[in-house]
Amino acid sequence: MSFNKDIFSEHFKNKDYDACSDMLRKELISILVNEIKKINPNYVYTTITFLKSDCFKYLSPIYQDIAIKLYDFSFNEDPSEFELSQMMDIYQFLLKNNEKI
Amino acid sequence: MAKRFNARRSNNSFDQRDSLDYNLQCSTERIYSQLNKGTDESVYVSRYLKTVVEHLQEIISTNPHSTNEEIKDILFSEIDEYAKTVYENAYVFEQYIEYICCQYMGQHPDKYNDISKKLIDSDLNFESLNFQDCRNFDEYLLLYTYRKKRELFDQIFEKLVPPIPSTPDNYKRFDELLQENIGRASANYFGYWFELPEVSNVFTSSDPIQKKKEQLKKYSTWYRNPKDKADFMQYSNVFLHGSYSYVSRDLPYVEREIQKDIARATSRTVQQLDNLGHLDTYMADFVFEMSRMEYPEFASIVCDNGFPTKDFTDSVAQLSKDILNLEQQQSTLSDDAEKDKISRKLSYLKRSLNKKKSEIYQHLDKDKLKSVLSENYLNNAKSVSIQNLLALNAFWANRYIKELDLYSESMFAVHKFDLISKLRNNESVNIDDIDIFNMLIQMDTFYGPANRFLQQQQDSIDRSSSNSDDTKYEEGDVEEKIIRFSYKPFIDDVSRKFGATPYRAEFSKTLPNIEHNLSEDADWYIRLYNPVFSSYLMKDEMLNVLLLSIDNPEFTDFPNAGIMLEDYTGKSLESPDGTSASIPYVPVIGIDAGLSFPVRVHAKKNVMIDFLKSFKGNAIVPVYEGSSDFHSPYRNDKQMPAPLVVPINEKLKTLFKKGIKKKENENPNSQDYHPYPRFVSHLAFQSSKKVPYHLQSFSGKGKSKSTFVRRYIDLESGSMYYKVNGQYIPIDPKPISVPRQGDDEYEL
Repeated sequence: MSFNKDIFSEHFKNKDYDACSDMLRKELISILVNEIKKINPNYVYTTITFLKSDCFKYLSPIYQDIAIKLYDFSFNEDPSEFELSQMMDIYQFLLKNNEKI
Repeated sequence: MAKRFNARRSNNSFDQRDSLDYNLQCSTERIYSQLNKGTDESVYVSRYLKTVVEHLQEIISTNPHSTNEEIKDILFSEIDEYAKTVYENAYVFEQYIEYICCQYMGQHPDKYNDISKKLIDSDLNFESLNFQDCRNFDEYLLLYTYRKKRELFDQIFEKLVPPIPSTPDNYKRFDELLQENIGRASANYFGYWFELPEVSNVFTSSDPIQKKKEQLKKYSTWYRNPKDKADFMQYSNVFLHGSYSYVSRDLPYVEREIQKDIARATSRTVQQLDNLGHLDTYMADFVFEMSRMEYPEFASIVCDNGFPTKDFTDSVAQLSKDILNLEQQQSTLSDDAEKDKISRKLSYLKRSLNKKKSEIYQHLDKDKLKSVLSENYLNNAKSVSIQNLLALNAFWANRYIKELDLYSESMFAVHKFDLISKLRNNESVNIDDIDIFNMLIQMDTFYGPANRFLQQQQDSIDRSSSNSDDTKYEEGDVEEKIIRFSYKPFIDDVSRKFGATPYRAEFSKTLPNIEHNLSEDADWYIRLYNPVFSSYLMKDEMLNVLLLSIDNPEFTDFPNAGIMLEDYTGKSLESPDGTSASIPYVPVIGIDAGLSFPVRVHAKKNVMIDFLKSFKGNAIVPVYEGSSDFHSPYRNDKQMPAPLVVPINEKLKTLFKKGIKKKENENPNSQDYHPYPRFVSHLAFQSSKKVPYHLQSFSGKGKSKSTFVRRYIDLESGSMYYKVNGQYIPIDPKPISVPRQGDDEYEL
């Protein structure tokens, strides 16, 4: 996981939650893509819609649920604070459980 | 307003995502985050609930002997009807992509040959593939070409004895197989369909192509009916030149189909918005806005004859100006007594203005609006092109999606607060906002599990190759676009995960006097949420269609469409030197589509970037020019809202024609004066094709030219470009002088 925490913290300090959300979204997408690549090494990310359906094809329910959340954030007009808080939960969960899932 | 819930962060982690606690926490957070942004959904629900209750009262009155359960069934069937409307747009993406492919192939025969070769080696499963599944433009073209060859294979080799096996590989090799079997296939085809088996001799002869053409033309004269003659020539061309000749003539048919479908979808969506009780409000808002912008002629397109009168417009404009002046004055004052005095004056003026607005409702002519949005009108009006229709449909579908959310929340309130019984027993149906607020939190607790359930259903439908059903539908029956499934697994699953007792215990704390039956609540929720869920799928596809159309060089009807370079306060996002702009997280796509108002659609930047990059390799899109033309002085120079959008008629064309000449700096007594001329001259640009002065570009020699030059922006980097001969050329920095107010004043 190559997430730049310093840049993220800087955005967070400046209350630029959109930028934080964007960074976390990219990071979560990259985690899902890497998981799919373990099964399909030639896999290339195109859109969140395809990623969601590919998670259903290749990955376990926990990753499917993460993909659903990311897809949801892409089309819902929820406040970025809410999106961010949800993505932080997911990210923390993945950090803690990286080996287990 | 006191809230019983605190926006709390508990220790619930994502791995407890199935639990009641976790979902309640998400729901609470979501609703509080909306509240922090200034959106109190409970206020909207409370307001809209009045309309719903009136409607419910009507149902009860017309069904006096029905039981509560029967009334509930009537509501469920209405919910189903509203849900179905969402699916009216289900085919638009497929049809539009087919249209784009057809248009593109018609102009690029070499690409058709190239794609035909690639098709042979492609390992994609075209039989179960849809355009939604394609990940780049070449895949769209491959699928399109496959489908066309398959179509021809079925038509031409049908009834051939011995048959050519119908397999995907043979479909791909249609042209080759046609040449290999030209004699028997042409004898069979022209014998069966045209009673002219001898035409076969033309194709098998060694005559030069010109001679063959002449012979075929001669045969075609045997048909008096122009359609038969055209069909004969079209299929002769397929035998003579191969499948490309069929593809290149397919466009009018594809156009007709897409026009029919979008016209139907748009008019049905408008009808449902009326059924939901929203059209009057949209019309009144529109008339009010146009009146205070001093364009009564514009407002009159949805009013009875003679309204708004000059007196009405003058009075609304004057009241609006007085309020504006007083508000500005008030913001500079420090003396509390003076401020208070102005507040009282303001309050009086605002009341008067609201009274004027209420007056509008007595003069609305809904038939006028509905006639220009009827299926028949949209299907047959020559002035309404496919591009116009696409934008028009995007506007109304977007509206519907937003209203559907409110409708589902209000109907959930009908269930939770047992309004059917209350109305029948003549009890009060007034519900406190705090109760609605708590109900919304309860309702949203189902969001996560319902979303997951519906995604799973969607995924299994997408994966299933046997989802084609054999039912024959009437033309235009929306059922054709719907796959139904049982909600029972969801209700069982959520009941098991939440638990009926903890659920009741939890919500009895905040809503103590009402029943909390988990499976009933889940049943209502999933029925109400399913159309909302589907509407997001449609929104995804519609956004892709719009992104493709705003940069389609063939679409001359969209000379000005793209990303608006301003934030929600109306502030320009361009850099002072004009070479770049910062794009917000949720930018707005603006489209001048030859309609009564520009169509604006919000979309997340990262979603647009992903789609554009997968489709064409970069995220460069055109810029929407002149967005500041629509700033309203009465809204702190923010965008004027577009409560409704219709195709322009002759009356509007005349208004625009006059409007284009008007300027704000003319003598107020002159006919060419108008205080707010820009938005009308901007709209006139579309219909008259005359570029208004403020949107013109200047040639390098300083000579004014009546041209409109599009700029482009890379959504990833924010860099801006011109497009010259298909290449993106970075815009040169311009000298920085005075700060710019809008994004519409640029120079080469």
